Amino acid sequence: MRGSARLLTILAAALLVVAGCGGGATPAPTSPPAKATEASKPAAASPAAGSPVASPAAAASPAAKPDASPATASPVASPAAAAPPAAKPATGEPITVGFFSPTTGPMAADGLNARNGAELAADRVNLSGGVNGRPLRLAIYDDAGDPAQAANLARRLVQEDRALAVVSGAYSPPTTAAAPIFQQASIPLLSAYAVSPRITAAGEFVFRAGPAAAIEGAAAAIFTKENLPNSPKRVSIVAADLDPTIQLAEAFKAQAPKEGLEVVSEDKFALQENDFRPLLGRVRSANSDVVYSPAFFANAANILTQAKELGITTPFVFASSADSYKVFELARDNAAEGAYLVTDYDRSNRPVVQAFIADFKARFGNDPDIVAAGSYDAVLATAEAMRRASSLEGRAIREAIAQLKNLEDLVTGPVEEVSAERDFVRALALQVGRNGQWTSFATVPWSRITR
Amino acid sequence: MDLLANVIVTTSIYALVAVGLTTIYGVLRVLHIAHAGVYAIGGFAALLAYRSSGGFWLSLLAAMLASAVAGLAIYYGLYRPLLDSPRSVPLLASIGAFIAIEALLQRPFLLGPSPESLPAESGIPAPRLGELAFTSIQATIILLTVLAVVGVYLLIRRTRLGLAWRAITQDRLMAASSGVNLDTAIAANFLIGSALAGAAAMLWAVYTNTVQAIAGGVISYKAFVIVVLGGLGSVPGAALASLVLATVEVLATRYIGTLLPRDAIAFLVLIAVLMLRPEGLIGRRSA
Repeated sequence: MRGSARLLTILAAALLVVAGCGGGATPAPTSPPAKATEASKPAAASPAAGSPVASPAAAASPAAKPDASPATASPVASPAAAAPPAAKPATGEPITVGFFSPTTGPMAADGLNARNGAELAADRVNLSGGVNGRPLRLAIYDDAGDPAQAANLARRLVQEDRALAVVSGAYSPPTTAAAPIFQQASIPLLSAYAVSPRITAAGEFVFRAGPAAAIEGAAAAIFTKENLPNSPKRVSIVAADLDPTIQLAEAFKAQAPKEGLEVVSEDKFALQENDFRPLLGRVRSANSDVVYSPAFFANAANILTQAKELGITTPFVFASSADSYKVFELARDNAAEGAYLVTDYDRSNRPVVQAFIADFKARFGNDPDIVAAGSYDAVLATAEAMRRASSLEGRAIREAIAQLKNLEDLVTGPVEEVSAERDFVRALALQVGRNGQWTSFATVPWSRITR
Repeated sequence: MDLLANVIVTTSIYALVAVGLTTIYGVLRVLHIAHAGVYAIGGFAALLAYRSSGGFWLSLLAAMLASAVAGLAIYYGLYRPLLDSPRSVPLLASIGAFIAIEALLQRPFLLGPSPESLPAESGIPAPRLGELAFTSIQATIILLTVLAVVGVYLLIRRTRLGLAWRAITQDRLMAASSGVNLDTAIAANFLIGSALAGAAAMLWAVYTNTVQAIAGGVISYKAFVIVVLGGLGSVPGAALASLVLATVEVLATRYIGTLLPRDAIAFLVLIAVLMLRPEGLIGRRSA
């Protein structure tokens, strides 16, 4: 047994390292909270910014006027979706807004899209006069999907960058880790799309632009019952084993009995799973009418492809976590046609949405997905709140965010108001895969979800 | 019956990765963590080749070639200079190399952070044996794996190179002093083991239609479990352990559900085997 004890120790250590790398929390030790602070060019340098988009709603809106105050804002308050012809690019001393998303690690694809969305929004804001004449400057960080890195960068945003407000383009675990730090520093944090209830639980300075898990999961149950063909009754749940997706599954389960749905099977899979055949065999034997699957886009594409291969015809309903054009790119044999998706990013014919998609594509070369749209909106909403705030002090911006109303031109759908729980109040959308893209299918108002 | 096909395919992929790993451990006594990086490079090369040619076999060849080159580079650049240092040194270097490769591949000018699709068709017809039906890619994977594993086994048992490997495995210095060309033998080992990992990467990428910069992590930590299960250095042991792990995983996912995520099962099996048979399933007692 020469040296075998030592060998096993080394082996165990090695396995831990590899497992750590392979599992959800990926290393990116090569990039410690890599600071990529970047002033979003206030000038019309970017290609997207160069083509002001004609959006009737936005042109008619007074939002870009510096003096629009929260109390007297007109019913149609557009947060600078397009530059009114008269607006001048912002000059003057920049206002720093923090932004973070996972641009390395397993979530890097989403993180880059989120960052691109935020930059596009900052340029929009700056082209249409900035915040009362001052340009927005994004201080951008990479959280690598890692809560520890998120906490570190949050401290840097507070102490070094002295950000006046922060937008999170990150998933739930990093956002949850960063939120208390901003709360303690009295700096408003607006989470773009993360669903965990723990985020806004950090305190009164933390807001959420996208739907919370409880809302989205409940909406999924409502859609399943009311909008899917053949009025399904038996539901299988297949969820990615990660905090946000598990929360969605729990919310669906909580709402299901109220809608007359029965959850007949429930399974989880690892985030990086890509062979779903054994799991799908299990789902098939559950004999359900529909499958609700809070999963990520790569999971969704694999599930759909492999379900088709196995001859499973049960419809699948995915969650906003899978809201990406990549589902169609990765699915084989058009397996994503007819799949459903619950999201707040309704790809309707609203001009702001079409303009946003065109701009994003022109600048970054791919379709914007929920993380891009959500981050874009969160930056626009933050800028709008700063315009309306009585001062640029943390508490004043916080109050202005809490009082935001009738944001008609957010691409993830009009926001009616901000709830007492600091969530943006909005309708949710059901999309269906058609001709290789997500298309509008149905919507459900907030009041119906929270009824 | 889908399940049986599933078990066999999963076994095959695990075996392809683990066989290379176990022989490398045999000759070098290094836990070759960077094998995961070699695997990921194979997937990337396959994607590039597929995009430019659209051919299955050409992509497979590209994957094997790129992985073989990467494996050789790691041997010459990393392990060879560290041959005489304590074994924890090359281990750390290996971990570093893996992380670097993964991070590099994630750069947008290489593979990028997003998963990509690889819908190649091998052209091998989908066979059906009574109740048991295989898809074309399943048949391709099984066929190639049997060829590869048997090939490596024969290589070890029947050729001078195999003899050299076995000699090095028993005692590197003694082998060298008896006239074995260490360098050539070890390099050949890396070449073959890495090419197999490249093949596995390409085949699994087609099977799951997913090429990813981070693809190497999960599969190679399972391969480590397999290597230990099979008895460090043993090729038949690795093949058997691949079968055991794949069977447990697939059946547990299918029938027990996800009490535990599928990937945790690998470690449970590892712990169980270490407690009951620390020398592995086939390994000899005491080294």
